[in-house]
Amino acid sequence: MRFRLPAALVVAAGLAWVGARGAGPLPPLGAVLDPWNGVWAAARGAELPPSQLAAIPNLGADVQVRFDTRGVPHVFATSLFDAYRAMGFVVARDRLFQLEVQTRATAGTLSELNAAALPLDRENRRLGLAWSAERKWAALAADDPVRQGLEAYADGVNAFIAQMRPADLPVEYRLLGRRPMRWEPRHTFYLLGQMQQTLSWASDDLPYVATQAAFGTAVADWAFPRATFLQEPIQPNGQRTARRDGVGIPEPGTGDPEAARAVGLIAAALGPRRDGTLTERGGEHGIGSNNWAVAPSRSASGKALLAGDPHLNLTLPSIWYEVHVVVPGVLDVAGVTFAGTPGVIIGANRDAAWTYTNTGADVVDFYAESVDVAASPARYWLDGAWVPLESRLETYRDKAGRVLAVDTIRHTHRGPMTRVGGRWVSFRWTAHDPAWGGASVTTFRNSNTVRTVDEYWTAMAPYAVPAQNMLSADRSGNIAIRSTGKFPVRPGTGDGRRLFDGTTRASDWRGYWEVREYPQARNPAQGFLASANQQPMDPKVEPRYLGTGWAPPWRAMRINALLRADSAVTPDAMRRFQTDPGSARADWFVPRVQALLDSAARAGPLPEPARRFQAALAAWDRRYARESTGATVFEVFMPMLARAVWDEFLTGDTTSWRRELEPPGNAQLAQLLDAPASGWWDDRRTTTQRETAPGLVAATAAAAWDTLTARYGGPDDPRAQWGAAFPMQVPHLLRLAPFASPKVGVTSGPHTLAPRNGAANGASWRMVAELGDSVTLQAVYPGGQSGNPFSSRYLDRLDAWAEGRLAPVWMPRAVTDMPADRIVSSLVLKAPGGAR
Amino acid sequence: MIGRQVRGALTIIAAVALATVFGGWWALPVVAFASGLGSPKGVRQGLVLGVCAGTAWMLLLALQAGAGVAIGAVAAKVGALFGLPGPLFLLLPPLFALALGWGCATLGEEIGAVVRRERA
Repeated sequence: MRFRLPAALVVAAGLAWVGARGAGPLPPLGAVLDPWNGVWAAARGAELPPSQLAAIPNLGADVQVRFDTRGVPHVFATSLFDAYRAMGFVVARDRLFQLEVQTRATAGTLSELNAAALPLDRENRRLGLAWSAERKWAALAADDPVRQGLEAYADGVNAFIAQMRPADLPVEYRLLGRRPMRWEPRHTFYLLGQMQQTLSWASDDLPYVATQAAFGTAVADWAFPRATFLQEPIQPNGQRTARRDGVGIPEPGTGDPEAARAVGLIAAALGPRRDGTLTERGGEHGIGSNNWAVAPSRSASGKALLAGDPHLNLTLPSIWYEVHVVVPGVLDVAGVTFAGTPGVIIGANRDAAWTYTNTGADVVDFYAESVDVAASPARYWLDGAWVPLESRLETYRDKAGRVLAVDTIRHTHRGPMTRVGGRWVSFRWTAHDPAWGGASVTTFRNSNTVRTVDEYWTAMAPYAVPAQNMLSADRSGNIAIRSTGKFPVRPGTGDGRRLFDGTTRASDWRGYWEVREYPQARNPAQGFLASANQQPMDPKVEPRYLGTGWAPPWRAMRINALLRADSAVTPDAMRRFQTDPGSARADWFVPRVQALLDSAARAGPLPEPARRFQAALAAWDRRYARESTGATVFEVFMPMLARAVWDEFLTGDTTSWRRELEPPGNAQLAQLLDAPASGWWDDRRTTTQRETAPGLVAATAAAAWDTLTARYGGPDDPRAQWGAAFPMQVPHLLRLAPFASPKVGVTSGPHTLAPRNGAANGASWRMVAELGDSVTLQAVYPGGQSGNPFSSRYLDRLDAWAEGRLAPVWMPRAVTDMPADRIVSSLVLKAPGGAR
Repeated sequence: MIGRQVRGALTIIAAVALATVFGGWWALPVVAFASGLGSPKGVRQGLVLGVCAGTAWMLLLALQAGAGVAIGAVAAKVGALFGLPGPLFLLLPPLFALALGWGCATLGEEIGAVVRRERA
């Protein structure tokens, strides 16, 4: 018994410590295991209460909120700012942890949640995202409506945080042992900065210059062309089918040593996260977004139709939050907002609908700078004089507030600098301009109240970054699209894919394209408009450089083919198109691969696996249906073919600039299939023979068949069916596996209209609008309105999304229009002092 | 005698449960320590207190499950984060409470005994 006291001391102190502080990877266990206030409480607070009353500071009048059976809040307010306060409140109630994580990701403060995020934080701060957001906030005057709108939104978020019950605390906070941070109005700029990074950071600069360095300018110009070889532009060019522009395929040439010296600098400036953009090269599994609109002349109802499905990284909860906001006499708008942004980003009001795809223009340039002291510069050389650098200390802390690291980020007049050995490189990015912070918020706000496509164009004209292909339609039957954003005008040839000389202002941007010069079309003769991240303008119409990171034309070709073939389009057809299993890419590749296999067979008998591959491909209808085995066969083959062909790019070199080489995309591979004598078919690793297209394709086909058999048990095995072989799974925001969605089979494939990129990218929101006497909207997104993994609204939309179904979006005009059986929860937000 | 012990145990269970609901998990060691401190001279009931604490926490879980809260789903998902099957994770709260309750109550008893000796 003499050990009783020491044993009790050890147990009590140990458990108290682990309970309060956690240990190693364990979170504070007391707060987790607490049977009433711990993780279990998250399940207790998972569902919406039937009714709730709450107060929000600065509310001008009471706001009524009703949640319908789809979990969508309908906000009825008497002023715009009150509506924003209510939006902040309801978004916080459903998405509080998401609000914080997204903000911290851009602000570079994730390490305050988990010190392991320090490298990511340093990278984001090096890119100047927090610096930029703070400058944008500081640029707003106190009476600026944008500032007031963001403050109103913050009022709502913080009111929820202040009043929330223990059961309202998201489970992630419990696991991290944290409490929610206060939401500051400037945090909206962090969120928008994250989107700017996702959609506009990086470009073809690095792969272009690396290719130039390795194989010469001719190859770089072919691999990353200013004109895609199949022209199906967003701005219609009057052609009834994609135009194939004949281009010669250059043989691998001698590299450019000057370009080789630039590669390292550009790579360092870009950092490790340069694969976040929506360009579709560098791999077979492209992603992107679609939108299209049909004029009344080609719709079955004689009304304008509009469809949109932006494709982004999918997470649970979704990046989108669906909402309907009514301010009588001001706005009545439904659609989706980003958690953290007031107003509706994509959606419709009573008169018009709008949606976006990413333009993907080149809006980032890199400059080799000369500095006074390489190790710790204070000045940079510009036009024959030393100019002081702006310095900013970035301090990183852990959850206890201890300093983990301190960086000094230096800025030239162009933007942040990065050091590479003894050299420095800066970059200029449209996302950093403080003048355009307010414009982003203003344009989205103004879009909510437009009545016509012309008003929409006017509302969105000041929009800056990330450039978007903005599609709209109105009740009068007008349809229009414009690629809108700040497109830099550069010196010289205008091409941005190089390392500029930073010592002179002659290298700086000269301005931006005029809005009237943007790619655009309004009520075209063809009766429809479509965009799928392809080249916006036919270079024969506009030869100026806008960028080269366009998606291959496959999705655009498919959409246009579907729309050309249907002169009486219905909303249901639009819905079906969004998950259309057809593939212009497969239509291009399969016959050519078959022809090359035939050619190989004429030279000698094909190996048995290659013969079976050929038979399977011949039996495939080129559709990515869930039960299709042919789709699996083809998609096992395609990346293997790319690896076999682009051996020159896949050097395995991890130390020199050659590691930055990125293979051309499948548009170049598509061209190569028609050039079987090209030297690119030769595998340079085999020095004793020269491979040919038929031989390489046959060998790859045999290898693909063997892989298929080994991986899935053969073509007759259910595991080889497309839906089973390449299922979709939506991960949790923090990649917590138990909170991910189940794996679901989906009808979509690489470069189909519902494209795939691994397992975590896809249509983040799908909507179809019909605009006639009234506007009707249908929509879905993968996931659900609630960020609580234990809520019935966490995943309730996933099945509909996977099956390509849409749900009607309800737009009641007033609370009194809402029957009780369609309301699951009522929330009354009270103004201070009971004002009405 | 037995009836008194049962009443005593039930009182402790109720006290721990209520203290946890209103005070959070930290209330458990406080209640256990105080109970130990106040236990009669020579009576060693640390284990009883621990069992009562574990029972209290188990009852709180059962109460919520009875009210329709998806306790099993929480155990399955959060348990998976810790590499534990759901049922095993479900056992963690009462075990944690038992061990912490025993430790703190015993500590209280021993300190109480020392204090009483000093006073004597």
